[in-house]
Amino acid sequence: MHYFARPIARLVGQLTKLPGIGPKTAQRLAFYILSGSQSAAKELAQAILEAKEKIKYCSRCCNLTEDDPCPICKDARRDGEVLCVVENPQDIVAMEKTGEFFGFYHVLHGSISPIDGIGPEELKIKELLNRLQDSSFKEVIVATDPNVEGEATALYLARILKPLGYRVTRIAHGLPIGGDLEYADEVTLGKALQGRKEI
Amino acid sequence: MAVIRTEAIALKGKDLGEADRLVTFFSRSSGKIRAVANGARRTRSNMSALVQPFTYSHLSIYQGSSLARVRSGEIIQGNLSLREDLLLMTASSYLAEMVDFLMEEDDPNEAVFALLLNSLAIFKERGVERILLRSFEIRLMSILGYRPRLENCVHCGAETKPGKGSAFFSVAQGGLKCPECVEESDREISWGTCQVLGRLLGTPWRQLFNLRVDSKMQKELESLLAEFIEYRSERRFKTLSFLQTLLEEPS
Repeated sequence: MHYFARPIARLVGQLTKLPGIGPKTAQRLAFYILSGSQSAAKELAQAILEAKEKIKYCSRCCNLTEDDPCPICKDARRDGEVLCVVENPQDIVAMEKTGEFFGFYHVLHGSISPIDGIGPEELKIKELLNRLQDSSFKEVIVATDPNVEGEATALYLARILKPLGYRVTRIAHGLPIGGDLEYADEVTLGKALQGRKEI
Repeated sequence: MAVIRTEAIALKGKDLGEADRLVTFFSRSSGKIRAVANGARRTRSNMSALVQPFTYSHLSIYQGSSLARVRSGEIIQGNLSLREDLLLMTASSYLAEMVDFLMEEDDPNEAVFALLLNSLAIFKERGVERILLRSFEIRLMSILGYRPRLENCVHCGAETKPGKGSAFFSVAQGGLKCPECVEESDREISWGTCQVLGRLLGTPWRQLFNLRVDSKMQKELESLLAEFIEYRSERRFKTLSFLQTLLEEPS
């Protein structure tokens, strides 16, 4: 027995394929789209198509961009000696919001996870090595996530970049601003102690 | 609907939804458990460290009708050093992958729990040594009922005594074969390797390092056990090839 008309079932089916969207959420989204105007639905469909058609990898940093090279790579005011390596394009947004970093970026599009069968070959590491050749970069900041996959990636990068003469640094681990010390777990607090600095 | 309070080791995790993490634990009292740690990916979450692979902790898990949820927990050993070295991290991931794949949910096994906990502790203390990896493999397979038969021929039951020439191991039948029963598909191994295999099972952990195993035997053991495990589990473990690459690279 078919509960939904075929086009609705198709829409629900497509939405279910999105990460974090289960059948119930997909149904809710589908009915929300149907309850809206024709133009709103068209705009959504066109936005998806346009993004898919126009967005490509930046040939330098592997970020997702409309123009190649991307605006960050084209910015001549940036510090050409420091390169920050991140896992995903979203991480660049987070780093840019800090207003503390003025160098260039490189996006790996993932992290090493041996248990999931993701090795260095699956990431944009080859592109990173090609980019570093004949570049002015002296320091590579590894800003991967502070979890086991991020650490593995950072350790691997340090292993291959240090012998090439680059200064490889890792972003600090520690306590979040505004948090209570008593609620911090032992591992984070231990890391915060290791990374303490003189005031 | 029940709350499980148990000691557990986190094996692996994957992102779920906006900021949650679906974590696979191997617990002392309930075996393998998959549970959602709500908000564990947020930087202020007190569960972030708790759900990192190889963390050993006391957990309180709410087992509802759908997926279980981690209610709270306290770290017993953060095992941070296992995540701060690429080789240690990969070797620990290999142990975790084996336990995750070979153990079913809700099937507690104290011996497997102790084996994993001890192996991680020795990695922390001594670093990754091939003999430890082989010992873990053979011990885990033995606990799960796949102990290779080394004293008698697996085909006819005749006693297998070390002698001149080589020994023959049948991966499919899980043990040594006497010269009369040998088939073309059986593996030829040295008697020295056979003896090491037996000792890996019976020697206390601390004394394993006293075993004299030359590189030829190491290689023989490694490929024999890899084939044996792959045959029994019907799986080639993903972590193994990356681990082998790291072990062969000069550090």
